[in-house]
Amino acid sequence: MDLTAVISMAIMGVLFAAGLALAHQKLKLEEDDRIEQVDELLPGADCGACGYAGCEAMARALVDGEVVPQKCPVADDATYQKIADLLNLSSDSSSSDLVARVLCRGGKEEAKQLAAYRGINTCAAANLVNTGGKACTYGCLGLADCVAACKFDALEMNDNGLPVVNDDNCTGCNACVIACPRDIIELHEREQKLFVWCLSEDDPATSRKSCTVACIGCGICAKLCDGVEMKEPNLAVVSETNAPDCDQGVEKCPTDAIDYK
Amino acid sequence: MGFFNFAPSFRGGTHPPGKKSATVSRQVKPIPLPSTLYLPLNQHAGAMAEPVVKKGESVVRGQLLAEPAGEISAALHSPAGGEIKKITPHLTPCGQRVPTIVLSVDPKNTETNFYQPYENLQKITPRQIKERVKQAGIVGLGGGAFPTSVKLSPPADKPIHTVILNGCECESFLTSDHRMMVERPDQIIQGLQLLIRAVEAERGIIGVENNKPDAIKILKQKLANNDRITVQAVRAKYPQGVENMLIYALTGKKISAREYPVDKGFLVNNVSTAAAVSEAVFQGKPLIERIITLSGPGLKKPGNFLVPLGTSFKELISHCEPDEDFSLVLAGGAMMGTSQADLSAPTVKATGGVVVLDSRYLQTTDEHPCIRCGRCVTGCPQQLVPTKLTRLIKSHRFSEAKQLHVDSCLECGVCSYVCPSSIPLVHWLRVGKNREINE
Repeated sequence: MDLTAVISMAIMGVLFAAGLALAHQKLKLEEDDRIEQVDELLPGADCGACGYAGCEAMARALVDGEVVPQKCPVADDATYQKIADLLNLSSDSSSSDLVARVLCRGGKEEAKQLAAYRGINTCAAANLVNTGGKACTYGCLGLADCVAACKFDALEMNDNGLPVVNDDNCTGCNACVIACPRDIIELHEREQKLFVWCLSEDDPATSRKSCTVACIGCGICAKLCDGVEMKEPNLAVVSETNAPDCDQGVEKCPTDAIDYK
Repeated sequence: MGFFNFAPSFRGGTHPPGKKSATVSRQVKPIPLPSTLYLPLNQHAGAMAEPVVKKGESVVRGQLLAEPAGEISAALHSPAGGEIKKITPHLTPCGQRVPTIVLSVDPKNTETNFYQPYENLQKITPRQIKERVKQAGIVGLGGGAFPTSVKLSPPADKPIHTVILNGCECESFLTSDHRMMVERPDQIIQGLQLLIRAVEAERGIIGVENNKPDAIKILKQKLANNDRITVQAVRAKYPQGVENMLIYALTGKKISAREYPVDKGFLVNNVSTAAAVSEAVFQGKPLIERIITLSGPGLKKPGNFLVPLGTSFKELISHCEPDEDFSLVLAGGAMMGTSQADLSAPTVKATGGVVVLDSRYLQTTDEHPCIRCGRCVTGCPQQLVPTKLTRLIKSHRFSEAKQLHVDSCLECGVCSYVCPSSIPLVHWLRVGKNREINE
C-alpha cells in the first residue's frame, strides 16, 4: 500500500493547522465584549431610527462614546438605565416620549374621491399620479405605506381606509413619518390629546367640497382655546404640547376638525 | 419610408403605434371662447409668476396678467377680454392646486392690447428679440415649458453655433406640431431665423421624423434657397423628440446625461415655440393660445384646435363629442401624458394635446415576475437599467438607485411599454426619483 498520499496529506494538515493557530494568536482582533452586551440590550429591530445602520452599529457607537443611549428612540427608560450602568454613563438625560399621530381623518366616508387610482399599490406611487384620486391633495392616500414601514406593529388600516396608531406599540421611531409621501404623520408627545386632525391649506370652499372633516380655517378654535393658533390663513394647529382641554372649541368646530384623541 | 429605414436616429427607443391617422389631416380650427378661463401662475418651469391684476379688474385680450418673478420665470397674458373673477388655488393638469387667475370672459370685449410689432427681420437686434420673447411669456411648447428667454441667454463662455427645431412629435396620437409645419411653415422658418439671430448662431436645422413626408417636403421647398437652414429627416422612433436624442440623430454629437445642449453649443426648440416667437416679434402677440390635438378612441370628432390658454379640459372635450363611457383623460400623449382626476383642470402652455381613452384601456394586465429579457435595458434611451433600478426601489434602497443614475430617467415610458411582464417600470423609477434622501 502506498502511504505517500496519506502521509503527505497528514503533514500538510498539521502544517496548515499550526499556521492557523499561529495566525489566531498573532492577528487576534481585540474586540470590546461590551459591544455584544449593549447590542443585546438594544431592541434589536434594526430600524435605523437612530441614524446608524442597525442596532450593532449603534452599540459600537455607544461603546465608543459617540452617542447617548437616548438616541435610540425605540428603547424604554429601563433599557437606557441598563445601558448607562453597563457603560458607566450618567443617566440624567431623560427621554422624550413621542408617538406617531396621523393628522388626517378624511377616510373613504369623509373625503371625496375624484377618480379611481389603478397603479402600483403604494402611497409613494399614487402620490405621483395627478391628485392620487382624492380631491384633497393633502390627505391620506390610504395605501398603507406607513403600515408597511412600521416595524413594531403599531399601525394598522381601519375599515375607513385610514391608518390607526396603537399607542402601546408605538416607539416614536419616525419610520412612518419618513414613509408618508404626504407628510401627514407627525411625532407628538404622548400626553397631548388635543389636535387639529387636518393639514389642508386649501381655501375654505375647496376644503368643504373635498372633505367633510377638513379644517376650513374659520379660526373659531384659535379664538376660544389656549395653545391653538392659525398656522396658515386656512389652517389651525394646536401649537402647544400642553394645550389645556378646550371643550368649547371642539364643540363649536363646524367640521369637527379639532378633537381629542 | 421603406423596409430598410436608414434615417439617422439614437440608441434605444421603441415604436409605439402612432395612432395619428384620426387627426393628421384635420385642419386646425379655433375653439369658441369659453365663458371662464383658468390661468395658473405656474405654467412654466421655475418660479411662479406674480399677478399684476386684482379681483374685479377688467382686462383686454393680450394684457399682462402676471409678470415673471426671478430669473427663471415667465409672464402671463390674458387670452380674452373680460373681468378677473378671483385669484384662487385651482387644479392644474399636474394634479396640484396652485394660485390661478380665474377670468370671466366677456365676448363683447374684443379690444386687444398687443406689443408693438417689428417689421423687418434685418433691422431687429438680438437684444430686441430676447426682450420680446421674455415680454411675451414664451416657454418651450413641446412640453417642458422652460422659459425660452432663459434659453436664449446662454453663459458667455458657451456660444451657440446651431439652433435645432424639433418637429419630431414622436408621441402617439399628437399631430399638432405636424399640422403646424404643414399649415404655417413660413411662421416656423421666420421663428427659426429669429432664434438664430438672437443667439448669433451659424446655422439652423429642422429635424422632422420621416413619417411626416408632407411636412418635410413643404419645409424643404420653402428653404430651397436658404443655405443656413436645412431640413433633415430622422427616423420615426420614440422618444426621438428628446433634445439629446435629436441632437445625436442630427449631428452625431453626444450630450451626456449630466450636460445640457448648451454645453455643446446647441439650442433646441419646438417648432411651435418658433412659431410663437415669430408671432410675438412680427405681430406683437404674447403667448395666449396654442394649437393642441384632441384625439383618442373616446372622442367621436377628434381634431386639431387653436385653444385659448385656460380652457378647461371638460370644455375642450365637449367640442369633440365624447363617448358616454370615456374613462381616462390624459394631458399629453399616450406615452408621457398625465392622467386627470378632475376635468376642471385647464389647458396650460405645456399642454400639447388631450387624449381621451375608452374603458378598454382601463383593463390592466397582471404584473408578472421579471424574466430578465433585457428589453427595458436595450430600450432605455438614457442607457439606464430599469429592471435593476426597480428592484432597488421596491426594496427601499434609494441611495443605491441614485448611484445608478435614476435621476437621469426621462420618464419617457419606453421600459414599461416594452416589458413583456407588464411591470410598471417607469412608475417605480419615478418613485425613486421623487424620493428625497437625507444624508
